[in-house]
Amino acid sequence: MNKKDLGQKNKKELVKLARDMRISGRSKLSKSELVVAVFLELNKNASSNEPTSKQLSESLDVQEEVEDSKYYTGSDNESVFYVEAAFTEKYDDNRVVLMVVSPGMIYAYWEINTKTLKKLGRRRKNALRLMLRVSYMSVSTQQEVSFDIPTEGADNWYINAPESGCSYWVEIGTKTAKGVFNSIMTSNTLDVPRGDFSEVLEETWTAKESLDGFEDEDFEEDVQETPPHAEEEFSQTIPDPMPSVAKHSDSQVHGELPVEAAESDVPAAGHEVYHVEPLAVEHDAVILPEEAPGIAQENQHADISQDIMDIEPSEQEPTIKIYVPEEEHEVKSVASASMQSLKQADFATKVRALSMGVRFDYEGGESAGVASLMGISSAELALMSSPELAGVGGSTDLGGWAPSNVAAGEAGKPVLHEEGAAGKRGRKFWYALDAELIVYGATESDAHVTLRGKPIKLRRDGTFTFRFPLPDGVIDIPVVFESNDRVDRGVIETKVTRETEYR
Amino acid sequence: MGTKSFVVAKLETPVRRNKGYFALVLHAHLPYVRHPEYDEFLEEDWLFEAITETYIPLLQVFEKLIEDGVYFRITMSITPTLLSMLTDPFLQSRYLKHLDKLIKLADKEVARTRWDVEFHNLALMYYWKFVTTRRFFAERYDGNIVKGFKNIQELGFLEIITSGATHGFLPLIDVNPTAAKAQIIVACEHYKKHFGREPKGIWLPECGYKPGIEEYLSDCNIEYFFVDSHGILNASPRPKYGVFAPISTPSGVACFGRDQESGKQVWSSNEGYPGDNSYRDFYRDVGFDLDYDYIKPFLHGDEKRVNLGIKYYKITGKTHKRAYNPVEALEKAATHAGNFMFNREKQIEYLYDFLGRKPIIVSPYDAELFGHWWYEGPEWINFLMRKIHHDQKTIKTITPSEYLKKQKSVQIATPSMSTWGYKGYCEFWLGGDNDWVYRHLHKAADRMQELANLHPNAEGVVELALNQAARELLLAQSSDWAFIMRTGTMVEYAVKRTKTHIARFTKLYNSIKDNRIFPEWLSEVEKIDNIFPDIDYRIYKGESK
Repeated sequence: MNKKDLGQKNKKELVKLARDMRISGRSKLSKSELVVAVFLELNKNASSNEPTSKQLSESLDVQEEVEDSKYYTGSDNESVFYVEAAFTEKYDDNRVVLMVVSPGMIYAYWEINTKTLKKLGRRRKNALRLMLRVSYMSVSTQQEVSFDIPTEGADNWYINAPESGCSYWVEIGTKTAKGVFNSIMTSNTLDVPRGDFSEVLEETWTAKESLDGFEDEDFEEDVQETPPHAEEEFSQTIPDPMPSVAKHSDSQVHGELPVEAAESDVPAAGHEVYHVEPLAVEHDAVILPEEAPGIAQENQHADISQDIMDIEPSEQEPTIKIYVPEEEHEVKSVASASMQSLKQADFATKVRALSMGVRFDYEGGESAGVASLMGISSAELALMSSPELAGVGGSTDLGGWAPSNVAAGEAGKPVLHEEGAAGKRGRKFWYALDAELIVYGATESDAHVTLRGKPIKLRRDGTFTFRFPLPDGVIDIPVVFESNDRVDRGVIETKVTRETEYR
Repeated sequence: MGTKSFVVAKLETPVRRNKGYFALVLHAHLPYVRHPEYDEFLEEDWLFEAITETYIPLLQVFEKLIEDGVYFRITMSITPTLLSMLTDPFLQSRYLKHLDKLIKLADKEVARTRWDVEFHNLALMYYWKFVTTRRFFAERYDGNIVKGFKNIQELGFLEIITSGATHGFLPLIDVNPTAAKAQIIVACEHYKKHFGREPKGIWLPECGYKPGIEEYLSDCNIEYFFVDSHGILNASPRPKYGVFAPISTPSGVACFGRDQESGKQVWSSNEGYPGDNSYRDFYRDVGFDLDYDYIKPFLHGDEKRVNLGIKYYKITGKTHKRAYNPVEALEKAATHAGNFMFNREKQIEYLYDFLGRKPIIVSPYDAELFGHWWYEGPEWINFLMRKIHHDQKTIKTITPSEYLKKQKSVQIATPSMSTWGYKGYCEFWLGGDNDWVYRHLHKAADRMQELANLHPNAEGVVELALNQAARELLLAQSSDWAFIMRTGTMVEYAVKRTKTHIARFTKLYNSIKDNRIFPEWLSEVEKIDNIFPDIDYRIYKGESK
């Protein structure tokens, strides 16, 4: 079957084919994507273990499949059920309604009744130009922003939302040649979710009278670490995690962050390893802790830094540096200057990472020491936080986290701005920003791959990931893939430009 | 015959200093499919398959655990639509007919496979399973297995929670808040009627939350609900302990977040347990594997091939399928339960040290995952609960309401809008395949409110018509229809159901407005869409926009 044959099938037939082939995530695919997926599956060499995008992602894609299976009877017949005749498509209404699809997208549908249309038609002999005016209250500028979309006869529209975490509304109206907008009707006001972490850090807690009956042994234990009562309500600033000792020296008193707990994170060598390994298909035994360190090499998350170390730092190309263990130590020393603030930042970062399903490897020893202090590498977290990979919607911005950014600064230091330290009565306002680059890919596990001319080592499943500092300017990353026998060859070249502006 | 009460072994709970809690949450749901107007109806198989493969096996597992003195806590939502179908005498009798057909088929299979040991044993397994199921269903519970779940809730092992009345997707229905609130009110009333008390918790349909929904829950005295991880992570103010502790919404209803790590172990297409090669393959069914004339008597009226429920193969891999081996599969389920427990222990040990408090790991799954999709799933739960009871001290299973009681103080925050669907928001229920439904759902909701405000004290046939209009609106709102339109399975049925309920609603609306109700037609519709017999349309009264 070629692509054309597949293209002539309807979506239902394609879904059925995909189901038979156990193509996961099929229910999310559009018709054209299904054609491609089925085609690839059909033409897959049975022996080759060709990595697909599926293998790169780790989303919870079985969930929809399972839910779908509830309705699956194997039949592809037309349902015998008939529709009562009274169903009408339209209501002769004047109405426009706005709904959320996701933080980046909203959806509007509308209907204009015949009376209004007639009236409009009389006023304007020419073709009626109905416009959709989208407005929102910008969070960044605190101003109302609007843009217009010609409706082109449609009665609904998917609109990219330029900003999330703010209110949107739309109007349907006409626009004159001079650009004057006459509104006919206005939609509901819609709150579009932020899609990332809240900036509000102030904590408040409920107070509950301690009822004797509830205080069992569990409760007793919980008490010591339970946050304070609401009577002692406090506002805690989880500091933006920059090394600034002065700022946070006393926050421990207010904050009640479990600093002790954070300290105990660095377990003695030989401590049990917290490590989750997917069960190998033919592997019958439960994985015991003793086995875990060896298996850790296979773990995609745990060994990113390992891969990074596999590459020698390139002396000829100073613009792009690749992480080596020494640099991690540098981070450590920068960090140790302000352990307290880092621990607090670390706590918040790690809670988030853990909540998103990131798994930590606590082995003690050098690299693990850094890892447990810093949380997990930013590349890893960034990967985990991308919704496609982690199954967590939308949370691409992890918010304040410094440690890896510190290291990523061009000179090994963060781009730190301290404003008005002298001028404004000693105020210590500071901010920082940096960016990193993550490159990842996959090929046959035994292929030869070079990145910027240097051979790189693939993971066992043929995937690789690298994290680079991203200084201003153009970075060129050619990656050459060669099959094991050097017969097949392909090159992918990625150019990335970074421009930083200080205003 | 009444329910046989079984012996509860004395629980000698060992003094354990556990370090955290694990809350398994099963969400059991099917849309309301009941077609007395047809002699038989393909889509009713959804319910029948789930009863045979999920609901009864789960109930049997729970009962056996209690008999054996295993301490466990499981939270399970039974949606009002499912509850209505499970307690409906008409569907109960149809299920028995369905089961009898299966037993007959299995019997025929036992004879057919007599020269092939592997398949013969499987045929025997199915035969005995179906026979036992029939006895369990018809004799032990008199056709109403809800009694069984209720017993276990009363014994304290199970916490049954509710959901939206017809599993309406609240974030998109909420364009008319009265309509969203009605989903909650009707659900709670329905729960009370069946379980004799108020529900403590709710599973929001598709885990769909948007700020404001907690108000409706608070008005119905609901203590807690669940959101997906990012609903908690993106809450405002930022929750200090992430998904490992509940938060309290400003209105006082607590909110628990889904744990990703444990979810991935089961759901992930790569690492997830259900994809293991030893497990039974869901898609290979005798309905398609066997000779047409042979299976013809067991098909539906249209005599087209469908799944019949006897499946002989294991997943095996992508190529040649091999015969299912129940012993091997059961061993795998035990191994996977052990692996799951081991990972929760490590996770909880780590979190306990790191957070300085006892975390709760909330792991919600579709109940139909266990048994229907993952045939060995109920046994996996069985092994898991036994292992947690006997083999370790770190974890204790708990229900959310028990965990809340242990908390002296909970952080106050408002969760972020979120769902547990693809990409975490509304994409799955609002896209090119299904966006057309919302203009109808919103219009009908507004009209329902208009009618309720126009007739605050209706009586007689007008009141009947108003109540029926409310039922039609609710049935149209089931998120299942939009979901099915998106996935491409049984699309026509979902489209027709939506259109039919909207059409019936519109007809009722017009006839009430024109004061020209047709009592015969009305009573006909009342018989077909008979869900929520006690509904009161006045819940839709409220301020119009």
